[in-house]
Amino acid sequence: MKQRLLLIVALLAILILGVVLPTTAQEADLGDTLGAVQDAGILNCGVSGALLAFSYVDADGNMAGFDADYCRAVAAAVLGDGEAVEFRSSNASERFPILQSGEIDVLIRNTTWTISRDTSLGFNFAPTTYYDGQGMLVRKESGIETLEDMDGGTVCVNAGTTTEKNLADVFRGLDIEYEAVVFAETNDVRQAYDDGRCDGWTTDKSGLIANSALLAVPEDHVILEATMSKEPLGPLVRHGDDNWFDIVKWTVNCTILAEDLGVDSANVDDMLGSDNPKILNLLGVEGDLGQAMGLNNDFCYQVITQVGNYGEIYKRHLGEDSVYKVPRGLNNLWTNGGILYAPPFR
Amino acid sequence: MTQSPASTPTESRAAPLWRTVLGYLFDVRVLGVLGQIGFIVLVVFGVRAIGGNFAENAQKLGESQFICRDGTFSYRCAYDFMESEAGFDISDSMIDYVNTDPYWRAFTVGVLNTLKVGIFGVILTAILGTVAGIARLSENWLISKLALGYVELMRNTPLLIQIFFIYFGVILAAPVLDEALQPLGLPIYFSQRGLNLPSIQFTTSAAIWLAFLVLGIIQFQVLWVILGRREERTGQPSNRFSTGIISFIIIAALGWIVSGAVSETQGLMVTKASRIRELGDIEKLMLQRSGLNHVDEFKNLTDDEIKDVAFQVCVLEDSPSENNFTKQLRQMEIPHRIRRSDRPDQATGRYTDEKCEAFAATKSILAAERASLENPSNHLIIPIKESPIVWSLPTREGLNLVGGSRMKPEFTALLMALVLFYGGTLAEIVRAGILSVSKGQSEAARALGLNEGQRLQLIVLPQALRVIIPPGIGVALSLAKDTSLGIAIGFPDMYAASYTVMNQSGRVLQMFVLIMLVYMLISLGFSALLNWYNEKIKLVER
Repeated sequence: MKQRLLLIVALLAILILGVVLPTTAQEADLGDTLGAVQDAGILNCGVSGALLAFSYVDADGNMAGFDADYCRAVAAAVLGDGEAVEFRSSNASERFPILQSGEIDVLIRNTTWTISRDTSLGFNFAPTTYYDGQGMLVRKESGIETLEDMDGGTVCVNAGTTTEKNLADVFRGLDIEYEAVVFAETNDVRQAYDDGRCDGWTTDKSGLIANSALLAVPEDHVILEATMSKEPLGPLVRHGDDNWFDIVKWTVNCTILAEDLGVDSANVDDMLGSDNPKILNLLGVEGDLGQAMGLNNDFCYQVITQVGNYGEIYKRHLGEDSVYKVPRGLNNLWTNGGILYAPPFR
Repeated sequence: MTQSPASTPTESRAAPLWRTVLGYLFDVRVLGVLGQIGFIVLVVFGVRAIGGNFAENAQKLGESQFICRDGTFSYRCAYDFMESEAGFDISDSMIDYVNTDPYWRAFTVGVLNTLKVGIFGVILTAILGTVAGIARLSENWLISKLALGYVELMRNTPLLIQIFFIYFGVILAAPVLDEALQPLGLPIYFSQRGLNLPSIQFTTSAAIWLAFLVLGIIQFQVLWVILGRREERTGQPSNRFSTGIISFIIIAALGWIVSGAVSETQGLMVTKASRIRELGDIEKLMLQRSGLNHVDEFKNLTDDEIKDVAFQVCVLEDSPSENNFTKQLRQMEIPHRIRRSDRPDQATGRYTDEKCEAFAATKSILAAERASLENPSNHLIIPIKESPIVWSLPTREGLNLVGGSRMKPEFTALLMALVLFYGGTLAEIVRAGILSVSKGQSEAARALGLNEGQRLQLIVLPQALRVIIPPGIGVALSLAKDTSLGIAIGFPDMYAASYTVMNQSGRVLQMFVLIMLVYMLISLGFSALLNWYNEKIKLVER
């Protein structure tokens, strides 16, 4: 009896202690991303890992693609080493939680910039790196030529994307009845579409271009002309660290401005001796623009030498040097009929 | 008691203090208490660490996650976002759902889908598992080895792989829609888009008809008794069965006619300007529009011409009115185009936008919708004849089959995979249960002259069930929870629906808490049901 009483008292004491004592779990400091990245010497960058042309594992086992190169650009700017990147592959729905929880420092995963993501999800979007739009892939033999022809049809789509919502909005607007088959993984969407489960497959046009190369007979399919939405894709960081946001923002601007000024990875060393003050400011020869963000002044020089300017990155993964040969379109400099326009370095 | 230091005072008085303390410490009873205390400490601090992490993560997500409608922030408003518009579509839904519905309705659709797979799954698994378990013990070599092969194949490969295999390798390997299998030319289609079967739908007048049917059954019984007594009395064989059936059929047919004539609950809303006053006017209108003289000539038109002149009618999807009215149009041989809506307001919208010339539904719906129109007096509601039940046949229309009932490939694949997998697990449990019944019972049954079926049914299974049910509950629970794998193949279960909600709204923590709660409720429900059954069949001890 006495023992039981003792036991109960001891238990109560432990419980009270457990509740009253402060947590010893260390509070992760999410306020200083730059410091954390510099201390670790490596950038944690979230990518898709399964989207050809943007971020995928290439034949050599390396993460390659347009988005992956932007991860390298940020690493080059922050750490001076474009290879100091830890890539974290993620699907459409885990990408936000891993950024919110601090598992990654920046998310560059063909993610559309929307107001709700910018505000209520608590993210900041760096300048758009790729202006995309939602398209619809159909079989040539189906006779579907416009979205209206899809009335009564079935559409395969990725779960938890702006695409899924756009599809609903656009088809509602067109007064079209349809059936959506929703998969979590892009590979399964493609497989189901290829097997004939769906009449159409909708996602960003860039994604359709890259993925249709993997279909059994790519020539049998065609992307409808209609663009169902605006999809500005770009890097994003979490709220609460303005300096880190600036760093990512100006890394992207650096690549665009470099192309604008004619600076590329081949001529960047010559350009160090240029007499154009804009170029000297960009490359950090003059001024201390980098220091204001806690970086070296030559951060943009590092980005250009190690990764290249916007045009080079595009050409490598989407343009002439790739198998896709996607025309620049909107993703051209403002001087060449596109809408890429970077604010000045000064 | 002699081991306890306290009970040997002479010795302990002489011993130094440290020995007394050590003696206490190595006392089995004290050790037991200390062990329990240590364990509790571990549990409490473990839970605290996890809980702290959770709270910290919730904090990190920021206040915007907990915004209330009045703009303030509170944890109480964590689920307020469920009221906002979902904006995405779910194709497989048991309740009305359109993409303008709120998140909670989308979530409900998911929960119902989960329950649907869970309930069908548990029932079919019970059947398959029992059969396979008995087959394992069959004395027929082929049957028992086949069952063994099935069990081993299912138990030794992962469930997710099986789901993918069945979906991509079996279901999607079915013919494409254009080459759908149609056994014997019946209106049954089997293709990648699923299995489409005809279905029956009850119109509102079905109640009257059903009343006649009940009447018919009563008179059958009465007749049966009366004729039976007369037979006993007179010894004359009276064909009481056929007499009963014939009179039943007469009453049923009478009911069919009466219910069709009495009730006119179905209607068609048209504008006054269309000059349609009764159903027959549609024919005149169509002839006028196409410049033809007789309905037979519609057959000669090309597809494009038919598209131009077709009578456009709005209906509610899968409603009896849809099938009732389209059947009448088909009988009148009038080319028509059906526009299906999920809800009356959608159909009315199309009707006012002049996307359709008429709106067919029940009169009560039409009256309500007409009242909502700008100028109700400009619209007429024409009564349409109806049968108590109408057939809904799957027919090809554009890119898909419409009408009838349909088993979607995703549902079929998930159900098949779960039933096959857990059937294998259950088969072993059933086998173990049967083996637990002592051999003497079977021998006694044989000695009594019971055949194999009777032996199993009357002697072995009732005793084996007591052993089978408790682990069987575990199988049912696993199955119910594994329905969440449906997301892999595009089945919109609760997890899949929540997945999209999470992504659209960013409320990950809230949704996961909700999902866990609902799964827990479902599991507790299943186990309560099976525990009740277990309680019922277990050995009654006095």
